[in-house]
Amino acid sequence: MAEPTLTLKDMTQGAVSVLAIAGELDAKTAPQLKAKLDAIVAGGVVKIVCDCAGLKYISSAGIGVLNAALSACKAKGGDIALAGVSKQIKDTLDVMYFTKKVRLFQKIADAVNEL
Amino acid sequence: MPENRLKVPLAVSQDLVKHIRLLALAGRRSFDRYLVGPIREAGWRPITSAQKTRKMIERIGIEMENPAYRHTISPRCKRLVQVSLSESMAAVGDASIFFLESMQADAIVASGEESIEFADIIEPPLAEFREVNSTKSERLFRETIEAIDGEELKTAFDPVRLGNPEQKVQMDREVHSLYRQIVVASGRNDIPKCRKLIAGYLIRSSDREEYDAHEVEKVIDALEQREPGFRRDLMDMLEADLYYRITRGIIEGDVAKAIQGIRKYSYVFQGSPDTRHYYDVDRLERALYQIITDKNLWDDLKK
Repeated sequence: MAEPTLTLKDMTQGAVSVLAIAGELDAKTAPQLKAKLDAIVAGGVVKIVCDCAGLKYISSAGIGVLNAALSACKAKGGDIALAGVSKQIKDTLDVMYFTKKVRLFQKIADAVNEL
Repeated sequence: MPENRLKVPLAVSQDLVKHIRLLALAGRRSFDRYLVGPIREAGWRPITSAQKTRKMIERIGIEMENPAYRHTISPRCKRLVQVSLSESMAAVGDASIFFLESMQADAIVASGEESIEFADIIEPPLAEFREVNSTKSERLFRETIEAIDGEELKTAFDPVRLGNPEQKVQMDREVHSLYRQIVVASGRNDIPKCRKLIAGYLIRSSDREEYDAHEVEKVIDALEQREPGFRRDLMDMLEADLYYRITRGIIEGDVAKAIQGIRKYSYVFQGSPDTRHYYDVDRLERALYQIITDKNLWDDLKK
């Protein structure tokens, strides 16, 4: 099986950072996401929308990284929301109970407005 | 394996115990190849004794309670292992596990010359067994979950749902009972017991809907203040235990146990790449999700 790949691209919309996550988020790629989220939070942005439209797979390692970042943002008065989540990804988030902790939106603009 | 080790680290002795238990499930040939053989080859000769392994374990266990005997435990455990070599494979397993658990219970035993030598002898072959077993486990796991039906998979995924007030009260009672037991154990300065209590609680409760991570964190923080390194040792213990549960579930064809272990592992470690079996568990998780997708079972699992 080919190595999983993950691409991350972020841009700031006002006080909110929109991070596009594409590819596969598993044990091998989760540290890459962690580094990116840590850098965003260290830069003072604690409201983050993860655009998951290009995300093809997520394991508990990836969910763990998102959960840790969510706690860090909330502790500083911020939040994380997910947008454009496919059914396949949502199924995994549901089974791992992550949808009880994080808000999901269809569109990025809605998520940005709500944060 | 580090050179000139001064003591056997807790994480190492815990991992070795779990792998000896898995070895016992893998059959006689594996047990001989990865444990009994390496001990003999290292020059630990079988000794015949009037006292059987079981009796010796009981006696050493009692004497461990007495501080005056602490420095004698490590050499006596070496003798115990040598006696077990002349008895049976099961005796070698029991003696080895007892020796390793004694190291976990007492730092003086963990620093004993014979303890360090024993860990150095069995660590490389058990690491080899772990590699072999890991590849085999993944294949077995795939084959097993491919064969089971949706209802079984749903049961395996079922968390403990604590929706009603009575169940929440029960959870609160468990937390309070845990506190009481920890206060008693920590009053006796019994840190290993505190570790076991918290590890047991986390394994039981971490994937429950109402699990209060914050409360447990406070207890762990308090114990870390008192005993630096407590948190790391606790996490090592949890990892060894959960990985053992997952692998044992796979070897025994108990898919529910394996899946529940994967979930608990995920909840406790939350994607931390610092865990020893991080990639192994991730591979099993990927195989599991693929089969759920292939069988179109996602919606059933959430009902």
